[in-house]
Amino acid sequence: MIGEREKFRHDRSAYERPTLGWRCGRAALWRRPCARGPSAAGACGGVADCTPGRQGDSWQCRRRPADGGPCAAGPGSDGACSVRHAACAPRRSLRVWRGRVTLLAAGLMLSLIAVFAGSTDMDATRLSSLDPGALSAAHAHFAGEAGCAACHNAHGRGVAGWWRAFRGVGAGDSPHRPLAAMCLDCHGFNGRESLAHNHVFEGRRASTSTDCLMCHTEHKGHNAVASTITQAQCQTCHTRKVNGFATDHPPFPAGFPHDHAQTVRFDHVSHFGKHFADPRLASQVPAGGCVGCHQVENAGRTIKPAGFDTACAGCHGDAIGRREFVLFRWPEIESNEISKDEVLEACGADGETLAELRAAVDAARRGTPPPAPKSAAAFSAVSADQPTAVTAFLLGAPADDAAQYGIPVQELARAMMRDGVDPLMQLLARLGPAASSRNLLAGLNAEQLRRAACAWAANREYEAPGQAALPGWRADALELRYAKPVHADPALRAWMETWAAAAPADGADRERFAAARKELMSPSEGPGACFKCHTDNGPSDGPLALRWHHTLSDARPLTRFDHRPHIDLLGPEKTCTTCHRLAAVVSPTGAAFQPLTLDTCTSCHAPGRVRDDCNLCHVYHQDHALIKRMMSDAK
Amino acid sequence: MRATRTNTLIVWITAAALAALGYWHEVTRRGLGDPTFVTGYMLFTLMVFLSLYNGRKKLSMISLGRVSTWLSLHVVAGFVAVVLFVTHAGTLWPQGWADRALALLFYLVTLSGVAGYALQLWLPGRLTRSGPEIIYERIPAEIAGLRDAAEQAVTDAAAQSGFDTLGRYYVQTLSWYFARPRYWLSHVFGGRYAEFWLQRRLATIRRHLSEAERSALGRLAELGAAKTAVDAQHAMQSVLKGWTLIHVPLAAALLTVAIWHLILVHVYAR
Repeated sequence: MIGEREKFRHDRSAYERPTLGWRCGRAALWRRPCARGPSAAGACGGVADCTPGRQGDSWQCRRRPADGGPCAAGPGSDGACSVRHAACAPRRSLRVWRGRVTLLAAGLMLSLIAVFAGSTDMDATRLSSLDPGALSAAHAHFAGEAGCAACHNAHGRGVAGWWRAFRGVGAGDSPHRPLAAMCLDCHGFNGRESLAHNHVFEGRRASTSTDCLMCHTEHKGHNAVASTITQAQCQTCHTRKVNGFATDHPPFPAGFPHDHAQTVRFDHVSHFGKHFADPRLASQVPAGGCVGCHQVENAGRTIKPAGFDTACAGCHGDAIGRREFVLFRWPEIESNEISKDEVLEACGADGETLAELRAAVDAARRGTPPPAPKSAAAFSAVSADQPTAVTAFLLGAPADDAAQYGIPVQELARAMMRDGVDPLMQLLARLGPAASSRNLLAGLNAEQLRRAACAWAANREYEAPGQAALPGWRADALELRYAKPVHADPALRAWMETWAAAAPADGADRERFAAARKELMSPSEGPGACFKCHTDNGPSDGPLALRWHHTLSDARPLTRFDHRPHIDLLGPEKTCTTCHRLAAVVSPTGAAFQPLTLDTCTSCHAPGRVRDDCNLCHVYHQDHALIKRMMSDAK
Repeated sequence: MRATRTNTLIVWITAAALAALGYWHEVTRRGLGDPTFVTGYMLFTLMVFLSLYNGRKKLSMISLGRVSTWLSLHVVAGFVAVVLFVTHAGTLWPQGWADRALALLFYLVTLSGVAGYALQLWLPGRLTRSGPEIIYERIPAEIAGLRDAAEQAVTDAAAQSGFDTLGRYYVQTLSWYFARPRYWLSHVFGGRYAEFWLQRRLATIRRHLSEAERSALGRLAELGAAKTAVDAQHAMQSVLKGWTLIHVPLAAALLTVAIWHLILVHVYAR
């Protein structure tokens, strides 16, 4: 019993076998276990007290001293122990049970993985061993029927697809597309996606290439932000240490933020300093100061003006209609190349011709000689003007040399007298294929043009029936013009865009084209005076991009600003002039406001006040946008 | 002394490794690198190393270093694994059923490991204080021996005194106590319920016994005290052996799910 040291002697104590898989069934029932214990196969070893040994011709008892030594009866003649016991039912050891439970746990996990691997879908509420977590709200609705395969190339491609993905993206002929490449199926940038900020920076051409997965993570929950870039991460590349916006941010550039080209010109200095102060215009000045024109309710990075009709038409509405577009003007010609008979044949007899014929008939009745026709007198041109620059370009003749433009102009008149609009349409083809597709002469009355051409061919002014009341093409006296244009007139806009897009190559033509374009797009004299406010971008003799709308300059694609919280905080009355202070004169770049300095911002954006980290004003990607193809595919 | 030096060395090396890991992780993260693959593989390697401890105990015949050193390494590696897990996951409770199952298993294994380590710090001292230590596998024989001795004492007392009061009382009451280990929970938590039970039962019968039977009752009290000590040994040793029935299977389940996670990451996250 306890404390009996001899129980641990080799010949007194039992040999325990904790590493074997079985233990004595008697011990399991808290009875005295046999000394020999179960066999490795789990058979009871306590049926006999010993296994007798043969010695010569007899059997010897070999019971252990601890169990009382050799028994009195001794082995039987067949060598069997004479002390027999009922067999017990050995039990599994703790070690075996632990192994079994361990295997069961691993097997259970494998089973659960296998069972729930097939139930993967985009439903986060369903159990799935492939479920990595809910998608962010931004992506949750875009996967569509493709499900996981919308982003994960290996999904649904079986063991082979998984193996290719496991081998990695650079594995020889593997068609596996890496995850970052799948992002670009939907996301696009104004620049290479693998470049820092999607942009090649001068002096930083050796910058490390980037990858979507460096910053973006997914499956972090519906409300998770896909990108969690920190200020410290910005400074991995931006080595200038910025511990705080107020203390370390570089000064704003001169003229910031008004130093960008304006898409729609507006002189704030003259309007606020002169026109709005004029008592005669008091009734037409938009009420409310800045917010009278700017749509503060739609404030974002910019606060766009309300538009021409609301903000400008009160004063400038009539000015557009007064600047009509003269497409063709019957010019001064040196000699009349179109005979009366031609005009008579094409146009019929007009009043003057009929009068001459009537005089000749009367003379014949009286028997007197007929009066001499007027045409026999010396030719005197009805017009003393030059053709328009547009006509000169279309005819391919100089506008200031009547000897050169005379024949082509009369050829055009002769053709229009016979065929109306078609000859003019053929001439417009010189502006390129876009000219015919735009239908630049839409609404032009072919019969009116033919009659005007008849008059011009007969060296007379055309008398139009009535006055022009609505915008449209009209022939009158010696001109074919687009009358009474309005703001955003589609016909005038088509002409401007056609002329902006065209760029003839020939030397002489190039000069005439430039002159015509200058005439059309003249800020003061051009049709509609469109370019008094609207701007263009491009070479003077090449294709131009016209800017019809107030759009944000792309000068700072990596910067963002939101007017709304500033307006909400300060109120629209105080907000504008807090930051935008009117300059005394407009700068050469068109800026009418004094530049902002860091102090303007740091009065609020500072530690302990309002956020002042990099990400508040700077963005990483340049012009990120969803690819439209994705939107159409989703339908 | 040697074990203390070894443990101190392990702790210092671990602290230095953790500091280096933290620095590398922060530098990599700031550099827009992805430390999760490296931390993930480190964690997986650590899990495999932790599971080797169970194998080491089974290979006692091979010289693979001292078990105490292995235990120290196992404990420290377990602590590092917790740090690595949080660093790797970036959260205490990840999204998704698969990752949550992995996290839950990790926490259960950690908790069972911590509990086991606490038991190993707490119970061995109590085992020593509770009386002579007995090999766990010999406890059934020990109880059988005490029971035989108790029955022999009762039988002898009846023969000497001619009364069967003690014998009948033994059969009706005390034999229950000597039949198998009793009051397991009380012994695990260091309670003395078994001792009180026995004393109360012995005191109850004492006044009804003859002189010869009282002598046998004293013998029964000695045997009962020995039985109480054996029961305490059994209770505490069974806890020390039994907690691995939770820890090891959970660790196996964790390793299985971790391998699945590793496959998924290679297939889906690249």
